[in-house]
Amino acid sequence: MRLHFADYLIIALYFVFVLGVGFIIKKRIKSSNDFLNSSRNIPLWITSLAFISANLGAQEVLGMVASGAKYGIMTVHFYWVGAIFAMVFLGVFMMPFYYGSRARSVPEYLFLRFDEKTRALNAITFAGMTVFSSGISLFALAKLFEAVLGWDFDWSIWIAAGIVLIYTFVGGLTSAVYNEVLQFFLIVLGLSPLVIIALHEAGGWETVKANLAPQLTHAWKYMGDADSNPMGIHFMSLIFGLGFVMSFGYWCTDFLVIQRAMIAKDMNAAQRTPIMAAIPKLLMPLVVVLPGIIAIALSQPAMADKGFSIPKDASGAFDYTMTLPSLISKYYPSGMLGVGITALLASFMSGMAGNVTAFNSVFTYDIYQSYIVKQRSDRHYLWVGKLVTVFGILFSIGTAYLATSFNNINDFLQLVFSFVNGPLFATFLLGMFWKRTTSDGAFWGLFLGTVGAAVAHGLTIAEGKGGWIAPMYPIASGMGQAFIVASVSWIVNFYTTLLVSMVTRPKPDEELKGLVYSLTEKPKQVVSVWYQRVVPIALVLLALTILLNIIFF
Amino acid sequence: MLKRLEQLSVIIGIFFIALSLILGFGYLITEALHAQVNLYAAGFFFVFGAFMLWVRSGEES
Repeated sequence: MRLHFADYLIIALYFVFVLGVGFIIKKRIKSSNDFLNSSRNIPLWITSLAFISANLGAQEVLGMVASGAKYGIMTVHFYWVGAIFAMVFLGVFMMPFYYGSRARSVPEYLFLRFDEKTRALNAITFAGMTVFSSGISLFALAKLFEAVLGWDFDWSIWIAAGIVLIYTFVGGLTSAVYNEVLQFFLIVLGLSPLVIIALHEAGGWETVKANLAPQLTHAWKYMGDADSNPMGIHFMSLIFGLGFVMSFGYWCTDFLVIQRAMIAKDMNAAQRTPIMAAIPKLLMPLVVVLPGIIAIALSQPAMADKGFSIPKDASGAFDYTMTLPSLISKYYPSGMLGVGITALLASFMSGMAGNVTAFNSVFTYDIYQSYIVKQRSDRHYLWVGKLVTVFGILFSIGTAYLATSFNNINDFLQLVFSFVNGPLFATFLLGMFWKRTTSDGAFWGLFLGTVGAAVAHGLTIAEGKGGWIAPMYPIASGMGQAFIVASVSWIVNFYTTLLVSMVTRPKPDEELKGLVYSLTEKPKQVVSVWYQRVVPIALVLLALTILLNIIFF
Repeated sequence: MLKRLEQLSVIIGIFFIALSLILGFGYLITEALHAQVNLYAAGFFFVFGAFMLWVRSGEES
């Protein structure tokens, strides 16, 4: 793939604008609260699009197109079973506690609800995860551009990281959030023409369906038997593992996305942020799943005359990760090629900046201010936040280089993330809705839930991974294994928290006001029009989601 | 006027209009960019950019 001068001009234009946003925001940064929390004055449309964009990193964009090619339309379950229901639950039930408690971060909420040790456990694991995740994203970007464009690996890493560093250093969270919105439009509008062109080239949706096995074009029809669908899982495992444990665990507890809702102007806007974000999320499969399905259809022998195929790896199997870059390369001429490459760059940078700004807040507030240097001036914490930005980016770069030395570090870290994230939702569910939940219960539930995930992984094996204790239970796909590991960790956490809480002393009711459902005054809806109220929009959204599941059954 | 230039909707609007100009002029003056998709995308990006310039964003600047 060779770029024209106009393509480079488009990439340069993008760099100028993202840096420009940072410098425009710079003069608004006067305190640590401005830098790390945006002073809670960002409009709803921006918080909503930033909420979805923080999740629209490289793993999401490239990964979902790849999954669309590998698993077909079942990939939409990540949206229409997973994300939407969790985002609605977050908006309706959980945001009142996150926002109303005035906590500055998710770990700080855990401190208010439980105690220091639970906050420390969550803060340290979250900080580690974000910085490693950011580094892996950087590694993936550099490897992709090296393979597709022949760009130098080191230059890709340092330029991308350098630009993210500049705009997050000067403009903090607001700068990252503003750029995430620009990146969102660039990704969606930059990739949409590709879907239209590829679908037209394939002869339309009916032709795509006619050229694929029916298991790839039905979302639910083949899920009654684990052996008859490409993911190799039963619908109950999907609903509990993905729809409940993994999705709620991510969307309802991960500070990376929740931070975007916590900077909204008021409670109503904070509650509506994930719900409004769910509207574009509902349609996102059109941009990130459909291209994968079209690509696998175009790669069938019956459509060989179209001259497109997903690249293959050394073993002759499809290299699904390359699906999106190969579609861009095939169908975008110079000009739109620059837009497509810039959209990919935007997805990497959006994910990286999201991780770095979340890392900033958690490290500064929940680790540095809580355990290392307490009660210093606001100016001190502002500069610590800025320094942490620099170190966060440097750690990310270090992780990216570490990934070049260890072939399986990405798999290993993703595995560790799933061990940590899997059980977390049980802690929040019990903590927010059962006032009897104790600090010891939460801590040991989290700890043993993580251990439970590791044991479940050690006893199951899928696609050659896992089974390190004893490969007793074979599972057809890695995706199915992830759902089962997450489910086990959630169950272990839930029952451990329950049992330990029964035998330990809970906090008095006075200390739990604003933190637990039964002891908190419900937010009053001050707006009169239905589309500005939380519950009516949530119900419309759920009805649309169910309708889409029925249409693509 | 300068304050309005600091609003995100305006920044996004200017970005997409600049993008449309690169694609549009590229289509007209360069053979390598003379593809229908560039022209259509330029038109769409221009309209979207103009819409973002016009819309009230509700930001404090």
